Amino acid sequence: MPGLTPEAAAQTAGAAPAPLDLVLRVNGTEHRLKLDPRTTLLDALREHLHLTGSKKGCGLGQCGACTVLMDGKRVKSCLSLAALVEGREITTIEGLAQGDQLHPLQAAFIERDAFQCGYCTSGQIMAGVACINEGHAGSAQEIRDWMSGNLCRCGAYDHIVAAIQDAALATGSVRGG
Amino acid sequence: MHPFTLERPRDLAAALAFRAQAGRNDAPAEDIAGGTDMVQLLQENVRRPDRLVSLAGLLETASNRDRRASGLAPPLPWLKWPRTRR
Repeated sequence: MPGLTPEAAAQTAGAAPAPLDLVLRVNGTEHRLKLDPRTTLLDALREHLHLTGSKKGCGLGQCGACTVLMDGKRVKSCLSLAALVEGREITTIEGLAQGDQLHPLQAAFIERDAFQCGYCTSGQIMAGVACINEGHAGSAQEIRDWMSGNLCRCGAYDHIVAAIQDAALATGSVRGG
Repeated sequence: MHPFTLERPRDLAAALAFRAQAGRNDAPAEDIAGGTDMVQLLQENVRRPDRLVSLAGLLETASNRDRRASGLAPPLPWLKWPRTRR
């Protein structure tokens, strides 16, 4: 079952394999961990590093609530094995702000009231940051296309798109002529 | 998820050796690159390998090597932008 942690799954699928010694670089800090090789990046972040900003939604890569940046590119952390991201720079929602200064997209989400329940918000923001950096924030339709991997069951899409447009303008990332 | 041993070969020869060894021992092995498909199959117990061979490092190395061999620079990011494509 997707929702099972590796430890729980081991009870139903046989003995746990030997743990791996890993060094994960998250938000600029190196963490030495001993993990079951079946541990996903999301479980490593939430259960071992206690970075609970990244959310477990579907566990199947369909909702985007677990989106984080790996070397600046967005990935679904529920479908990435932690052991395979060693040596990569992982950025989570906790690493986006600079001290007390929010990232422009975080500020835009607040300004535009781009959430209701907030469960998808950290994934939306991480995907939005990547969307802007990729140069895919040129229009509302383009943003909708490139943010289609992140679902919001509350239906705050109009405000999310507006927030991304605001942040793209604020960071001078809107291109074209 | 079925328990597996994770192998992270540094080159193609090592990856092939892992696969060959798995074949001799009659121990199922699977390859994994990014994980988008394979992790779901593992979670659902559709695939139950005893050995999982990571190709992630190999693919990156091959990609860089191919670019160097062809004399091409890394792709320019703005070539992907829709306005540029048009």
